[in-house]
Amino acid sequence: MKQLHFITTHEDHRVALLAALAITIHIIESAFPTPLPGIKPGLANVITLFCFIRYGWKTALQVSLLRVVISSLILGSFLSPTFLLSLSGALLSLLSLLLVQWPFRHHLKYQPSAIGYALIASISHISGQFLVAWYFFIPHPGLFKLLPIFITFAVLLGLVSGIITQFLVEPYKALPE
Amino acid sequence: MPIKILPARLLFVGLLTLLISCQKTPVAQVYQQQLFAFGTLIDISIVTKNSQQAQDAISEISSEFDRLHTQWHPWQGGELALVNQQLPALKAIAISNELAELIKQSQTLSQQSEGLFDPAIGKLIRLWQFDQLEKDNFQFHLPSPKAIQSIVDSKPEMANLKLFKNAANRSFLQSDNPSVILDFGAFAKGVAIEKMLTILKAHHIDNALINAGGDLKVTGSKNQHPWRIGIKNPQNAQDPSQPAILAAIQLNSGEALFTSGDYERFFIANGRHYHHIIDPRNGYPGQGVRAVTILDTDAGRADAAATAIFLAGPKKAMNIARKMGVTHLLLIDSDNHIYLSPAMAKRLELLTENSTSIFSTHD
Amino acid sequence: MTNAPGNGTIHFKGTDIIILLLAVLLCVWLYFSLWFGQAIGKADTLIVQIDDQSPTEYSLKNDRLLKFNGRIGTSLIEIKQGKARFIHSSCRNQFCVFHGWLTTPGDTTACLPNRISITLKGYASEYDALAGER
Repeated sequence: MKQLHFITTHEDHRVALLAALAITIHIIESAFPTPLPGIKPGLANVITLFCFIRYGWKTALQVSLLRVVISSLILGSFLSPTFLLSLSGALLSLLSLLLVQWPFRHHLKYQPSAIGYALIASISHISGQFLVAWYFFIPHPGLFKLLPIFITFAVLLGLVSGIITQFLVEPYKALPE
Repeated sequence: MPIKILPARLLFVGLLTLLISCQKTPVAQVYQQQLFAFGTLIDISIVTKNSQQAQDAISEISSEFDRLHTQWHPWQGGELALVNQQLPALKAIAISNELAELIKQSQTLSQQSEGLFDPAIGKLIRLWQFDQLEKDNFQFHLPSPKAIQSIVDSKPEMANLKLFKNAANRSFLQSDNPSVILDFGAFAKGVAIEKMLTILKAHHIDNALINAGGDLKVTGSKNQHPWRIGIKNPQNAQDPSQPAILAAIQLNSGEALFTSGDYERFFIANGRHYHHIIDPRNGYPGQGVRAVTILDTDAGRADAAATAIFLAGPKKAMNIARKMGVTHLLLIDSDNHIYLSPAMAKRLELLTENSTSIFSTHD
Repeated sequence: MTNAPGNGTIHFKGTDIIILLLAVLLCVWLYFSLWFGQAIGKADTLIVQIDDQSPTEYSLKNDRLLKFNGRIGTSLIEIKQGKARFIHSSCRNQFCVFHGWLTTPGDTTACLPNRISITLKGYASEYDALAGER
């Protein structure tokens, strides 16, 4: 029988490194108290955004899934409601990023910068979480009264993470992949 | 065999996603169905992941409601109708153990309610024609005061009935008052709902709500949240500008909510309202109360108590409730003043501006 | 991308500004529709069930008269300004007509002799069931 051996590519290393970074941020962030349940700075999303802008959606998807799954394993929330919320937010935000990028795929000039993408990601992230929370866990219409507050925070925090991402991305602009 | 890791990783992620989507999601669908049965409209909500399971349970419930409706109808076709034909002869009648159980329970409740709940007044109900509401050729006519008085004077009551068993464990019933006719209109629905919950349990359904014409019982919860019920505002029936919902309440598993009210089933004759809750003491529809809602774990007791406390009125309400073992009651009098038992006041979220008082525990 | 961003400056592109504007608009719209609007918890659909047939839904947005044939005859149902009621039914006791307007999600009434029931349904209704005489 032939020996089984893996070939790891440069890209694999990159995904591993970025995922490790995202997981670290995610876990540190989860240790801080939040003003409103469900509202977090979402700095781990900066890494996802960075991946998306710099390397494309496939890398971003892998990094963000790895982050969601591994962080939840470490925090002991795997397959719990928290995990499902985290996963739905991450998936919806990536999907929205793709949808926004699609019309501009041949017009790089008009593509949003990190800030625009961050706003999209953060609003869709919280909307995804909200819908899952409402549908699965708290199917009470009163929850919708909180939605405007959540979205307001999403816009503010999206701006912040967008600016951070922009600082992260700019130095790489000149470099090849 | 070399494996390139990129596809392997995508495979891992794909499998994981698949695993998560196959994982028992915390949510099951609420399966709802409406039935015309038991002389009313029955809404059944079942929380399940398996709609076939719900359908099987509902079809069994539907035929069980039909069976009980026939068996317990006071004069149409079933066992009770046969018993009612034979009762005035004052001879021992062989009856099913199911009917014997119904009679036994209502004897206890009737005694506890000081006769305010009394299924032995079937003759009065018949005279008022409130057992004929379903008939399509029905026409209301006011009974003569003489006829009412003669039935009231003959004092039909559950205590006139004797239940016994023979050596073969067969149940028998005997009356010592020719005027006793049984009508379980104020009790059968509660007992039937209890039976339906047993059926649900047999189908391994743990989370459900059965609402039979505004009287309901729940089991379990709705996706980890207690069932949330709105209690209708009697004032809204006449004046749509009044709020439709009087109060909100969350029910724990196994709790029933039963209401007796004068605001939906009534007739107007000579400019007066005649509703369907007949007072055994004078033979006329009870006065002074618009509605009574009882919360209890036993739907049968809740049903009987709602009728008894409606007739007791606010002054005697707590006294009768205590005797019947009921702690949670809401009463609205004809001036739309709300009375609550202390236990009910803790559970209820009132949504109207009506004047409200809480019964003292020493009434 | 005429002027490339220098170090330490925040750079907004035109597309970013459009996205930001849309996001702010979304916020404002949500506040208005969810805090000051009345959409949630209001009835928006009428469900009509005839005998054991599967129920039919009608929007409450359009005022209209609906006529159905049941066991004993016809029933006439009116939809008006988000409410619904029986205005005629072939039964003698006329409980369905006396019931008057249905206004709240979960509110239901029926012409039992004709085996026709009407029930209001609302988006994200606050109650799982309504208790009380019907």
